[in-house]
Amino acid sequence: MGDNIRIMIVDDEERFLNTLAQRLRLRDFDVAAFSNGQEAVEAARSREFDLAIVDLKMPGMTGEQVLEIIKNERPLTEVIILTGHGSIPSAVHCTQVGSYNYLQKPCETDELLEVLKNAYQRRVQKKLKIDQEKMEKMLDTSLGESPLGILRRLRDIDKG
Amino acid sequence: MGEDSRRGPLEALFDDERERHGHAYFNAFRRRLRWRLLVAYVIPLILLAAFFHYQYSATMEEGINNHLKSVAENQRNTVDLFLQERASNLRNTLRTGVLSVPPRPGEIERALGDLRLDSPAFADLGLFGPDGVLVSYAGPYTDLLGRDYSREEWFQQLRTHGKDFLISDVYLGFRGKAHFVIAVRRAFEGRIWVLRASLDPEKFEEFVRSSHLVKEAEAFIINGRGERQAFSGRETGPAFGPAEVPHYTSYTHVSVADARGHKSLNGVAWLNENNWAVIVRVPRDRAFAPLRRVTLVLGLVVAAALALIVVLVERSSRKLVDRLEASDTDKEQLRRQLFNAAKLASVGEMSAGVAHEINNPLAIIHEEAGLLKDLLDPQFGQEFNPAEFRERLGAIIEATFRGRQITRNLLAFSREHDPALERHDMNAVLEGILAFKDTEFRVSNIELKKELADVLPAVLVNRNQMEQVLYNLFNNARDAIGRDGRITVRTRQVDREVQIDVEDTGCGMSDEQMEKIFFPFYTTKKVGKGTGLGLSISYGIVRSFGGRIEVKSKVGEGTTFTVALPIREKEARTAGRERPADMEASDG
Repeated sequence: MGDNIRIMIVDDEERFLNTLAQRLRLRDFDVAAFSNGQEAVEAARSREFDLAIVDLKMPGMTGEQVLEIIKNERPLTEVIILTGHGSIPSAVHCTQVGSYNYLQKPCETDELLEVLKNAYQRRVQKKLKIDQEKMEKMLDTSLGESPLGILRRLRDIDKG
Repeated sequence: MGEDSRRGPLEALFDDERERHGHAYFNAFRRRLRWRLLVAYVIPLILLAAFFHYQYSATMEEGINNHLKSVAENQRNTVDLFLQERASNLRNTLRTGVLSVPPRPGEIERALGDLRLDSPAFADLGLFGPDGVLVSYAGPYTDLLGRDYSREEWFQQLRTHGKDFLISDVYLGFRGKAHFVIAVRRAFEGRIWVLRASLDPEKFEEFVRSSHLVKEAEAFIINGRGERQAFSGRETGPAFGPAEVPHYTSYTHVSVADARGHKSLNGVAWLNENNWAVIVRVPRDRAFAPLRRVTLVLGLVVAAALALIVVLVERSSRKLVDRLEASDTDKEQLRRQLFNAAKLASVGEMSAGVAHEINNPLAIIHEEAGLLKDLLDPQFGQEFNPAEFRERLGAIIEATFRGRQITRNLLAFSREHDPALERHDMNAVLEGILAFKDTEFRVSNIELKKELADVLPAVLVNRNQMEQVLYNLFNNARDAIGRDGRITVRTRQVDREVQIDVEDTGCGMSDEQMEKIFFPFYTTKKVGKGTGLGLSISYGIVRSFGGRIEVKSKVGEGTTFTVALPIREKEARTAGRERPADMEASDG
């Protein structure tokens, strides 16, 4: 069911991190697990993730900081906050910064999977919309270009 | 900063060096109060009574003395006058020619008759010629006629005497009957004739006795040797002890004499006309009988007053101390209520954090259990691996223990406080608290630096309260830092104190803030974040251990709180109930 969705999990609680990662892998997610914010941000910079599950209270870089960086640098990656220290002010803050959802530990598996699915759909729709816009723009600007040039551009869009 | 100005009103709130007293203290206090009150009331009372008694007896003695003196003087004057009159009667008899020399027959009887008109005391009358022979006599002892008196002492004295008359002591003489004589001399043609009259002492004594003025007093006459002049033939002999015979004085005085074992007061007045003294004697105990009555009444009044004072002092001191003790108990109760209220507030703050903290082990349990379920789910097609199962079940069990530890800490913290003081090693207490706060500091990126003394003497504290104080200081340090900083915990022994520093690299405080931080309800935290009770309660707790809290702070650099606790030799001050020294909570 995971359809090889690329997902990163960031949590300083290693036991939790690894178990959740394994469970998601069983469901065919492509999971990368990070036990601190710094490593997660570096990974996010080097490659694109579809989704991110981020804990808030962590030593070193906090979940809020990770969220902010990801949303700035990878706006299409949907970030889901999963924390034991949930509070309304913190939820409001994270939502404003751009998290897709704000979940409290312990979270039911079905609920988490549902949220992941919806988040992925949203990402896909956003990507589609962007691709579509790009395509239209390209079509507008590439009238009169050679078919080979158009194909090259299309390939660029798919990559981006 | 104003250390003292901050301590003044706070001490009033919390200082229980004075306040926490047991029943035994109040009993001792009551005894002290009772004695002091008794002394304060009784001493003036006794002094006053003694002074009154002294004044009264002095006044009374003076009154008695004056009275005795005046009576004695009156008697003396009367007797003097009597004797003078009798002497002049005799003188006139010789001078006026009533009696011729030598007398004709019948003349002397006539002269005695004339004298008896003046005074019935005249018993007889005799005329002595120059050779000392009684030549003429009138009276009952006619056989005396012709006797030669020239060798009699009185006769010789009168012949050589400066005065022209002589009064003898009372004596028996030739006739064997008590009498005294008055004799006058007169020279006729160069030869001295003597006229002598015997006086009946009974008549004279009647006269002295008839002038009694003092009840209980007796009046009598003594001669120069202190012998009582027994006019009626009774009570002869010395009237005074040999050392007490009053000497002649020209003034009247009162002497104290011991007559037959009884002390007596004697008004003494010496006669002018003769070497006699009038004595007005009153037994001392009779004279001072009114004083004894007054002393008795005074004693009874003082005793009654003393009894009343004892009862009143006992009652009022009991009442006062009972009231003190009651108010002390009330105060102690209020203080405990305040502590408990503050603790409940902290428990409230804490439980929010703890509720979150407990989510982490719960999440682990959830995920581990979920994974085990997944592994058994045929849809994932996983092979059953018992080793992995055991490992994951172990993780679940471990997570439940983590959760239990959190609830335990919360329970231990919120448990009703028990004031028993016990010896505790502050390092151990700190480690217990820090184990609990460790995760919290770590996730806030706060480095915890421990500089604990290797060996620290145990101090007398209530562990639960001490943990409350430390927990509070760590929370303040954490709140001051927020994120990214360092908390340094130091312990050390300085003289007879154990000192604990909690130093943070947080925002610090202004002097103005520092002056207020120990006051109740003062807080710099956001509404809903702090009650403003933490530090004031901590201050009260530490003072109740006989210690103090000091603070140093600089805006932007950080704050250091120092808790100093005294190292005491003596055992626990509060007779507390037995309680286990560890923090084990009952886990149901």
